[in-house]
Amino acid sequence: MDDNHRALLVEVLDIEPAELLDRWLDVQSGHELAIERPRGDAPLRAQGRVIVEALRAALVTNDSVQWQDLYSLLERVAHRHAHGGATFEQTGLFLTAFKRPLFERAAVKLPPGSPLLVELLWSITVLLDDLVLRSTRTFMTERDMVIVRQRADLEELSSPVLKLWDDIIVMPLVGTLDSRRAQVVMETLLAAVEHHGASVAILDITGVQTVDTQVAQNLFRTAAAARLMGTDCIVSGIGPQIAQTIVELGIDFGNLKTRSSLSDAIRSAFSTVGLKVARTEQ
Amino acid sequence: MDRPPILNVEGVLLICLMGDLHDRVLSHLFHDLSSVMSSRRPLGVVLNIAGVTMIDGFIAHRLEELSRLSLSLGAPLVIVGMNAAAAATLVEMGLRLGDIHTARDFERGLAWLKARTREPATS
Repeated sequence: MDDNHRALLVEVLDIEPAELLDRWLDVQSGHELAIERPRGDAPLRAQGRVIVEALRAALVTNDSVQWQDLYSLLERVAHRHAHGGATFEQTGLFLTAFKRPLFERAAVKLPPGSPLLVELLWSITVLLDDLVLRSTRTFMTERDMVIVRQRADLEELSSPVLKLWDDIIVMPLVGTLDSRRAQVVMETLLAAVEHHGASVAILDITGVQTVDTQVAQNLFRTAAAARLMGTDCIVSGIGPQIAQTIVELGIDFGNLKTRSSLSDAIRSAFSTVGLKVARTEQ
Repeated sequence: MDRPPILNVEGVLLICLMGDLHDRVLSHLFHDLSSVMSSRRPLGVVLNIAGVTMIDGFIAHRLEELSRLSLSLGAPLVIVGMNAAAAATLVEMGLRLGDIHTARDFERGLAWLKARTREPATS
């Protein structure tokens, strides 16, 4: 935006500044994406006022520090909206609605049909669209952070290792085994083997939805690493569906010990460590 | 630790490797083990690598050589105590050490050796 436009825009902002905020809020009310105002107009009006002030300061000085202040102010506003349960569309509408009072004032300021008017309207649009994009980015960053946090929680929650018996540990797997999770599974299992000193580790995949070549590869690697540590690895919970897939895909489980159910795996583990289950005499 | 000691425990040779394994340590071990084995005729060899911090492709290759040496002299070798980091690294490199028997700790390695040497006699 050149100096001329900035000066003009400052003049536009200065036309009836008290009504500017009213108009801004009016334009939004009734729209389906309008931010809800359970506590009246005051909070939104206050946000509008500081945004107008920061915008004016940035336009007057055209100083990078002032622009940065405006951007960080918008980040805080978007942040507050997000915490209030607003969506990024709502915050977007809140900012784009500001175009309307500005357009109206620009039309008062400049004669109709003036080429400068079109230029000014365009400058306003570009400026506000940029602000909307910035606030949207804030939303996205926050959401990404939430996703990262949830993923970490999920990884932790979905990879428990249980000590089934002396020398026998079980890791029930649930969900999807992508390469990222497979890495976590392997590390968790190996750490548990080290910690418990287990002779047999059972990986139960009853809760795993699909087994493809990638997943099979990951199971192999985990079993191979466990074997290097001197622990027998059994993969259990291979249902008919998964067994069919394995055969159809031509996956060779080779010397990996597999069992269809967890109880079979436990029986096999017991015999490996030399234990026997017996019925008591009644 | 240039020359890891080779202990004889009830007819089983016990070797403990520690820290960073250098080429020199392993080649000394290779020579020492072959001479001790031909004079002592042990039931088997337990190689404890619980204290080894890092295992690379070269060391893995050396371990396989030791296992083959031991087998060729008539006694099985079992590697015990490999830690999680080393196991994960080896698998990452595609090294499975498929021909070497492993056990979690010294006790279980010893139990395996005894069971294995007993088998031919009973059958």
